[in-house]
Amino acid sequence: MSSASEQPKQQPLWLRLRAAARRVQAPVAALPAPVVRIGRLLGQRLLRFWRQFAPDGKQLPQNRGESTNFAPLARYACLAVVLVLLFGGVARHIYNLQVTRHQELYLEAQKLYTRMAVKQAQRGKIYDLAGNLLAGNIAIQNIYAEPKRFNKKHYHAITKLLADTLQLDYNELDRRFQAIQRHEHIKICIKDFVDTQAAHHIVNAALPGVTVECSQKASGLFRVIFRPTQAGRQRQDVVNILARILDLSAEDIDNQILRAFNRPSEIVVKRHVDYSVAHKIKKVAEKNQYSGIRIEEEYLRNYPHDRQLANLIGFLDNNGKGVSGIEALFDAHMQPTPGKIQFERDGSNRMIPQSVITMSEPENGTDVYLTIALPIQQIVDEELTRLVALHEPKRAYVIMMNPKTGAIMALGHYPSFNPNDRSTMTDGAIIQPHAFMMGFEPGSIMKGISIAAVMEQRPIGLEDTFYCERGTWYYGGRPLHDSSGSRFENMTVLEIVKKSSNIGTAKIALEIEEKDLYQHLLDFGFGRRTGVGFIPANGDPVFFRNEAHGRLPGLEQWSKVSITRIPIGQGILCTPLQMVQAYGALANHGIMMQPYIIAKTVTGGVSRFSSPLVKGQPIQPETARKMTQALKEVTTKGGTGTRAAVPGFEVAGKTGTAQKWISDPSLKAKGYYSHREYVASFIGYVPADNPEFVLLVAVDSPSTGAHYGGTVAGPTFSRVSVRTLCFLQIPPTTDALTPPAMTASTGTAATNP
Amino acid sequence: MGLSRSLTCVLLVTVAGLLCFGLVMVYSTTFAQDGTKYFYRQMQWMGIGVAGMVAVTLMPREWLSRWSRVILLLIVAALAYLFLAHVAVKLFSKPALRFFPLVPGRIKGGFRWLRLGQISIQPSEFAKFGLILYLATYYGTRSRETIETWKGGVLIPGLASAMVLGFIFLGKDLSSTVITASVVLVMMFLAGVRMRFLLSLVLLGAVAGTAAIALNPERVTRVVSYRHPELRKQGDGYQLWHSHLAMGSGGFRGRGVTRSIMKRVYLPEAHTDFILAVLGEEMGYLGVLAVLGLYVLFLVSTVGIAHLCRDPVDMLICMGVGFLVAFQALVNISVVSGWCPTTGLTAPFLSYGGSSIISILLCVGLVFNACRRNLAAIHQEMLDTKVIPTYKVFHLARPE
Repeated sequence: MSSASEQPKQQPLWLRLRAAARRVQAPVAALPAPVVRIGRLLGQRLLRFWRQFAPDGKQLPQNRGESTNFAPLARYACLAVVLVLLFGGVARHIYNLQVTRHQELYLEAQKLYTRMAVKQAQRGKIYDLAGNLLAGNIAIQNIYAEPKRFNKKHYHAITKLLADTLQLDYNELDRRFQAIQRHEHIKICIKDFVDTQAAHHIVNAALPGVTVECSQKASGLFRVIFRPTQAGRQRQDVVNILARILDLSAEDIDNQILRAFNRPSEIVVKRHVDYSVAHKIKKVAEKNQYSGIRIEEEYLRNYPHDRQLANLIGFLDNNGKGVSGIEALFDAHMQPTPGKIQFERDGSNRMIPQSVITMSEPENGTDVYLTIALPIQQIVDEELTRLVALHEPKRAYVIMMNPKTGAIMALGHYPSFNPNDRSTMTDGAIIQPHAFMMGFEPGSIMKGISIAAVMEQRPIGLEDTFYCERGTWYYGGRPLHDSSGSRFENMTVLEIVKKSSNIGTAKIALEIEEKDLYQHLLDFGFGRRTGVGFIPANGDPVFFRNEAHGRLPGLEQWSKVSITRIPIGQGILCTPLQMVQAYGALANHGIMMQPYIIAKTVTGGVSRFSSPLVKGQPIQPETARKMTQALKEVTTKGGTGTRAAVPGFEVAGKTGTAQKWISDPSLKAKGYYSHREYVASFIGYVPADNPEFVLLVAVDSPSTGAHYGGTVAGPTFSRVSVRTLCFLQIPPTTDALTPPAMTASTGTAATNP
Repeated sequence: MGLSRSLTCVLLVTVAGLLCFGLVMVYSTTFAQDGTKYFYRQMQWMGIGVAGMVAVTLMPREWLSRWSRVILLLIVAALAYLFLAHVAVKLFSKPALRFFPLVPGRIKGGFRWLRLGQISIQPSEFAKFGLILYLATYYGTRSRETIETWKGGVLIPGLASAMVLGFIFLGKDLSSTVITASVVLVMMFLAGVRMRFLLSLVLLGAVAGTAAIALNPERVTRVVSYRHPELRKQGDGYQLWHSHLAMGSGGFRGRGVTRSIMKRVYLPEAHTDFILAVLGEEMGYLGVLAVLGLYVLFLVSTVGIAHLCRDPVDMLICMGVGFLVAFQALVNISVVSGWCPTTGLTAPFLSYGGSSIISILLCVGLVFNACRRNLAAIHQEMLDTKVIPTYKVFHLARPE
C-alpha cells in the first residue's frame, strides 16, 4: 500500500506493482466476500486520504507581483518584530539578572562553593645537640566513610575496596555500613526532665525502642530516649503514644526523627593508615567516582628512640598538649599554628585545584635542640641497663654534665617508660623527669662539698690530722659511727676523704660555725631549684616549674648534732642534679655554672641559643684544687671507690652509701634510718685536673648484690667514663692504660710513655 | 542580487558564529568532568549536520517537496514505534524491550531516543524539519481558495501535524510539543489560513496545554514558582536557582572562558539545556548579548531571504525555519534566565546533542536551498528584463 503510493506518478512501476498485487489475489479471494469488500473499501479510502496530503503539483506563477500568496511576508514581518521585541525583553531581564543583581548573586554563589580549610602544621620537633631526631611527627591518614552518600550501585565495590585495602573483614564492614544506612545508630532524646509519674507511664507502656534514663543534668528527673529503627513498623504508633504522654506534638517528634535521619553520619573506618594505602583508596575512588569516602591527614607524635630520654622529653595527651618533660615545658612554643586556605569546590564536594588561595601559611612549632649528645646518652643508657639488671634497684639515675658550661650531656633515668606505648605509662611518678624532682639524702658524696666549704672558710691543709675515735663518737649525746668495722684513729684530711670517715668529716665541719657552713651550702645551690632548662642569651629563661627544691633545713631548725650530720649527707635532701651542679663547682675551679638542658630553639628558621651562665663562685680556685687533690685519692688503692677508677685518667670522685630514712607513722619517732635500703652513689669528674664532665651515678635501694656506692655505682661510673672519653677522643693523661703485656716485652716503651 | 548574496553571507556567518559559540561552550562545560569526549562528539555531530545541510542545499527542492509526505510518515512511524515500546514496557515489564529492537529504553524519563549502533537519534527533533518542509510544500502549492477552506486549509495539514504532535506529546516531551505546535500554527498563520479557524485552533491548543500542565502537579509547581527560585533552592527551584547564580556571578564581562564554577556538577544539564547559563557566567552579559544578537540576525536575515523568494514554498520554508530557531532560542534563554517556566529545551546551534544540531542544520540547509535557487532565479530575471546595471549607466553617461 505505502510502497505503491510512494511513486504515484510513475505509471509503469505502479502497473507492475498492481500486477504483483494481483498475483497474490488468489489467497485473498479465498476470504469471504464481505471481508474482501470491506478490505478493498478501506484500502481505497486510505489511498484517497493519502492523496489528499499530496502537493497538487499545480505550478504557481513565479513572478511575485502575480503571486496569490503575497500576504505571508507582511504577517511574517509582524511576527519577526514581535519576536525581536521579546528578545529585547529577555535581554532587559538578563541585564537585570546579570548586571544589576550581580553583586548579590555573586555573593550567594561564593557562599555555595567557597570553603575554608585548615592546613595542618607540625608540632615543633625535639632534637639532640647534633640534630638527631628525638621527637617527631608522622603523617598518618585517617579514613572515614559516610555510607549514606555511597553511590547505590557502587556500594559493594566501595565496601570491598575498603575491606581489601585496609585488611578489614568485609562482612563486619558491611554490617557497620548497613547499620548506618538503616539509621540503627540513631537515638533521639525525645524529652529531658521528665517527672517520675510520666516516666512510670512510659516504662509501663513498654514501647519498643523507647528507654527511660536518669537525666544527666538534673537528679530525680528522667529523660526519654527513642531509637526509631527498633520500633520498626510500630514507629508511628509509638510516636503518637509518646506525644500523648509527654504532651508534645507528634509532628514535632516526627520532624525530630526526620532531622536525625538526614544528619550526616560519618564513621571512622580505620585510623593511622599508611600514606600508600590511603593514596590507593583515593585513586580508585576518584577513578570510579565513588562518593562518601573521606581521607584526612593528621600528624601523630612519634618518639623514634622509644624509651631513651623518655622521662626528659615527656609525651602528649590525646589533645596534643604536652603532659610532662620538654613537651610540657615548651608546649606553648611547640604548638603549631595551622594555616588557613580558601578553595572552591565543585558540586560533588571536590576541591578545584586551581582555586586554592592560601590565607595564612601553616607555621610549624618551635623546634628544640637539647644539649644531650645522643651517642653519650646511648652509652649511659646501656650501662644503666646493665646496672639495673645486676642490682635491681627501685630507681637509678646517671647524670653527666659539662662543668665548664653547665650543659647536661646525658641523663639516664630508671624506671622509664615508652612514650609510644600508653600501656607503659601507668605510674604517675615515673613519667616525669624524676632526676629533677626526686629528693634523696646524699650520704657520703656530700662530704666532698662540705669539706670544700670548711676549707674555704678555714686554712686546713690536706695533711692536717683529725682523731677518728676508733669508729664511734658521741657528740651531742648521740653516737656517730663510721662504716661498720672501721677503727680509724688519726687520719689526714686526704685519708678521711679516701676512706670516707663520718667522724673525721664531722670533726672537720666543727672547725667552722654552723652559719658559715649553712651559708656555704646555700652557695653551692642546695635548698634551691637549679633552674635547669633554657637560658637564652637574651629573653626570659624557661625552666621546669615542678623541679624539686631539695631540703636544706634553715639554721633555726638545726639541732645540736646537725653540724655533724649534714656534712656527711644526713638530714639534707637534694636532687641528683643539685649534687652534680655542686660538684661542677669543684671541677670548674670553684666556679659554679648554671645547668641547662636546651641548646637552642628554632622558630621559623630563627635560632635562639642558650648561653652558659655563671651561677656563682662558692669556693676559690685554690680550694677547688685542694679538694680535687683529695677526691683523686678515692679511686686509688685503699680508697672506697677503687672500682670507679678509669684506666689512663685521674678521677676525682666520691662514693656515697646513704641509709634511707624510713618514715613510719606507726612508730612514735618520726622514722628511722633503714639497715636494708640504701642509696648507693658515686659522683666524680674526669680527667680530674681538666674535667670533661661531671658524672653522677645514683642507685636507690639496690636489692641484689652489694649496697655500697663504690661497688654498686662505681663500676658503672668507670665504664661510662671510659666509653665517653673514648667517644670524645680525650687522650689518656696517665700511663696506667699501657697494657702490662707491653711492659713485659718492650721495656723502654713502658718506662717512657 | 547583491542583497540576496549578502543575506546568504549573513546567514552563513550567523550560523557559523553560533556553532563556534556552541563548540567552545560544550568544550568548556564538559572538559572538567569528562575531558574532550563531548567536545569531539559534538564536532562529529556538527560535521554530520553540516554535510546534511550541504546535501539539502544542493538537492532539487521539488524532489524534497515530493518526498516530504514520506519523510513525515517515517518520522510518525518512528515516534509511534517508540510509543509502542513505551506502552509495552508499562504494560508488561522491562524485558518487553527485547521485542523492540533499536529502542534503548527510558532515557531522562521518556522514550525519545532510537539507537542505531553508536548513534542515538531523537525523532521528535527531526519532526520539526519534516513538518516545516511538509507544511511549506502543502501550503505553497495550493491556491488561496483551497487554503481558506476548513478542509484544505486546516483539516488535512492539521491532521498530519496532529499525528506528529500527538506522538511527541505521548513521548513525554511537552516543551518540544509546544515548540513544534507553535511552528505549525505560525506556518498556518503565514500561509493565510482564516483567522477564525486559527483562533479556534489556538484556543484548542491553549486548553490542551493547560490541561497537560494542570494534570501534572510537578509541572504546576514549575509554572507557579519559576519567578522566585531562591525560595525553593533545594526543590523544584534547584536548577533555576543555580542558573541564576551562574548568570548573576558572570556580571557584565564574565569570569572568563572555562572559569565557570557552577558548571562543575552544581548546574544540571549545563552542556545541553542550560548551556547559556554557563555562557553567561563565563562571558558575562556581553557574551549573552552577542548570542542574542546572532539569533536576532538569523531571524532578520530569514525575513530578508523570504522577501527575495519567488516561490511561496521557499518563502514559507524560510519563515518557518527563521521562526523555529528564533522562538526556540527565545524560549530557551527565557527558561535559563527565569523569564518563563522551566522546560527542557535545547538552545539551537549551542547545546550539546546530535539530533538537535543535525535537525536544525538540515532546516538551515532548506533555507540555503531557497537562497541558492532564488539567486539563480533573480539572475535569470535580471537577464530577461534587460536591466542595465548601474555601472553601465554610469559608463554611458561619462563621455558626455
